[in-house]
Parts: sequence; structure tokens; C-alpha cells
Amino acid sequence: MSPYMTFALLVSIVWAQLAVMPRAALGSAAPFLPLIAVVCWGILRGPNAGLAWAIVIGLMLDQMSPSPIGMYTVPLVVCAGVLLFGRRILLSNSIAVPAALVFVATFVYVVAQEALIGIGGGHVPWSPDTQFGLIAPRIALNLLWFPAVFFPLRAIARRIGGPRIGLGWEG
Amino acid sequence: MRNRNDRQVLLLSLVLLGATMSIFSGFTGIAALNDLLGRVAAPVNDMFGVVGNTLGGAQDARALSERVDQLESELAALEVNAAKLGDVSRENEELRRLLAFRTQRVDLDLMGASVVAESIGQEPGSLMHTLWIDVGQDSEALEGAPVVVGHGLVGRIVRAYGSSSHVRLVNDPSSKIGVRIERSRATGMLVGSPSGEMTIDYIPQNAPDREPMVEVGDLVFTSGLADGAHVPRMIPVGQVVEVRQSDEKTAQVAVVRPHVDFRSLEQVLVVTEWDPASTSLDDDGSAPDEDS
Repeated sequence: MSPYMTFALLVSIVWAQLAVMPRAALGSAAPFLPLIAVVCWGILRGPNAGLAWAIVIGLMLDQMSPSPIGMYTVPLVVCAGVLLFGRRILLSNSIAVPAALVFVATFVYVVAQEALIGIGGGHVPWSPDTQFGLIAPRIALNLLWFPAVFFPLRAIARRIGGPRIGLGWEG
Repeated sequence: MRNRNDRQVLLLSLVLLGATMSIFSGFTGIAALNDLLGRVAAPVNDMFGVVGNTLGGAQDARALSERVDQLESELAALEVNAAKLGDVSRENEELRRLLAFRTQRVDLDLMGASVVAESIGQEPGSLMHTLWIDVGQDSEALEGAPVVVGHGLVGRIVRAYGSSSHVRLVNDPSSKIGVRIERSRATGMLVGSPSGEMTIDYIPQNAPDREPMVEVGDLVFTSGLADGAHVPRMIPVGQVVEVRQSDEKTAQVAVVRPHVDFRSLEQVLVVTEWDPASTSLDDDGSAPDEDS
């Protein structure tokens, strides 16, 4: 896929997150398409491709936020690192693999971003109840939206062909 | 010639017959004859009636169908108008609130209608809570300026560009606003959180034999400070819905429900200037007299 096409795809993911996802929110939690896209692309094209997407999408999101730069990029890069870890332990041909990685990545993303907010002087209540109420709906929403991201990206990955350095699962 | 005479005779006979029948119409025999003729003619009459009704009904159905189409299109237009009217009504209500706020808070310089801004976007993630508004430095909306609506504080501008600004909502985890409990005059620091829950920290513990510092239902207003900077005093923030006390801590925490529904904000006011030393509200939270 040409860099222009890739850029257009990433812009459309960010646009969908900004324009569409607030309408799909459940209470204060909304699905986070960039995270799902990074995880899915990392599975389909290899962790390095996922890492590249994490950096580009994260920087785009940082531009849209008044928060210090890195508030989105760093947690997404950390999640791309989850793929490297997952590559070693999850070599199976089940669809549960990407779903499980979305589950873990959402957990990691929320905790990483909260840590950054806390480091920046923000107020983050770390009590288990609060964290469960914060993380559980986001995991559920991301898992719900995971097929809507994964299957189109898989179709794109198959169409562009080329070397695939995934986790061993192709579907 | 003969035919002509026959016709005259036939016409004369009919006239005589009619006259005779009208004269003797009260007689039973004539009535029976009328009845008999009526019974014989009734089916024919009915048949013509049915045919007539059917033809007339088809025309009526066509007319009714056209009428239904017309009414449906009128209904659709009315529904669109009703939706527009509802929208205008809501906008009108919100603008009235903003106007009332402006009338009440004469100490705040709100720069008229040009600083009424519409939200044009939301934070991409949902752990931080911010809004874009469509006014910026060009409209004298500078960084740090408070953003309000008619019934409460929305947040503060954290980044101002030429014609747009980024507003950090009061429920954002990085937001810190000094607040005062209206009833007890106790002060504390209102902070947001990733979940959007707003809490007041640093409320002093209750003293024995004195009224509690904070109770459920207490109203919360700004005290005049926010994150090291000034904000206007006595702007409503919300209402206490829960008090968390712990004997181990020196302060108690109150959970606040905001007056503002941050998810349905459409129009806001940016406070561009105010006098930090004054407020148009008395200390008890009521509006001052006109001559005071």
C-alpha cells in the first residue's frame, strides 16, 4: 500500500474516532478505534507495522488534543509493544487471539494514559472500583467494535499482499 | 297524418289517466297498483343506484387518494417545521438563559453575542474531557478565560488559536477549580477525573457541636481561584450528591453532580474580562438590590 493510501486510511480512522465514536459512547466510555486498528494491523502485518501506525495515529490524536504531546502516542506505542509480547506467547489460529490482544491492549492503554495524566498533575483515582468502572466498559466497547475494524483491515491486508509477519493467525 | 292523430290520442289518454289517478289516489285500489308498480320497479331502481354509486365511488376514491397524498405531504412539511421549531425553541431557551446570566452578572465582561460559541468537536479519547469552540483570540477569547453557560461553569480555555479554542471541562482530570460550599462557606478544590466524576478535595473535617461543613444537597460555587489563576466568584458549579468521610484523613471529600450537561452543550459564553475583587452577587449568593 502506498504511503498516500496509508495516510488516507489513518486519517479516516482518526476522523471516525472524532466524528462517529462519541455517538457510540456508553456513559462516559467510547470505543477507541485507533487502538483497535493498531492491534489489528499489528496482527495482520506484524508488530513493526502496528508500531508505525501507533506513532502516526498517536501524533495525529495529540494534535487534536490540548493535552501535552504524547498523551495518545505513548499509550498506543506501549500497546504496540503488547503485540511483540503477544507474538511470543500467542501462536494460534483462533480468532480469540486478536480479540484477546484487544482486551489486553485496552487495559494497557487506559492504565498507561492514566499514568501520564497522573504524572502531568492530573487527578486519577486508582481505587479498584473506580478502575473497574473505567476500564470494563471500554474493553467491552472495543471488543464489540473489533470485528468492524479487523475484517476490513484484513481485506486490505490480503489485497495489498506482500510479506506478512503476523502472529501466526490469518483467519 | 294518421300517425299524428294517434300521437295526439295517446297524449290525451295519458293526460286523462294522470288526472284520473290524481283524483282517485285516495282509493285503495289505486294505492295497491302504485305499490305493485313500486315493487316491480324497485330492483331496477336499485340496480341503477348501485351502478351510479359505483361510478361515483370510483371518482370519490380518486379524489380521496389525491387528498390523502396532499395531506401526507402537508404532514411531512409540518413535521419538518415542528422539528425546526423545537430546535429554535431549545436554542431560544438556551439564549435566554445566557442572557439572564449576563444580566445577573454585570461584573463579567462577556463581550456580547460575538462570544457565544458553538462546540465543534470532542476529545478523541474519553479519559480526558475537553471541547473545541469556534471563537479564539480574534474574539478576545484568551487562554485561561472561563467558559460558562446560563446555569453553570463549563471549563476554561487552555489553548486559544485565531478563530477557535480548546476548552478543558471542569470534569477533566487536569482541571482544578477553587470552590465554596454555599451553606457552610467551606472551601475546597474541585477536581475532575478520567471517568468524569467531580469531587471536592480538602474540605475541612466537621467540628464537634457545629454544623457539618458539607452535606448532600449543598450547592457549590466557584471561590475565585482556579489552578493558580483567577476565575469569577460565585459561578454555580453543581450540587453535592455524596460525602466521603474518613477519620484517618484531615479532610473530607464530596462528590459533585454538575449543573451543566457537558454532552449536550451547544452554545457557551466566554468570560473575557472581569474584576477579581468584585461580584454582583452578595455573599449569601443572592442578587444585590438595584440601588446597592
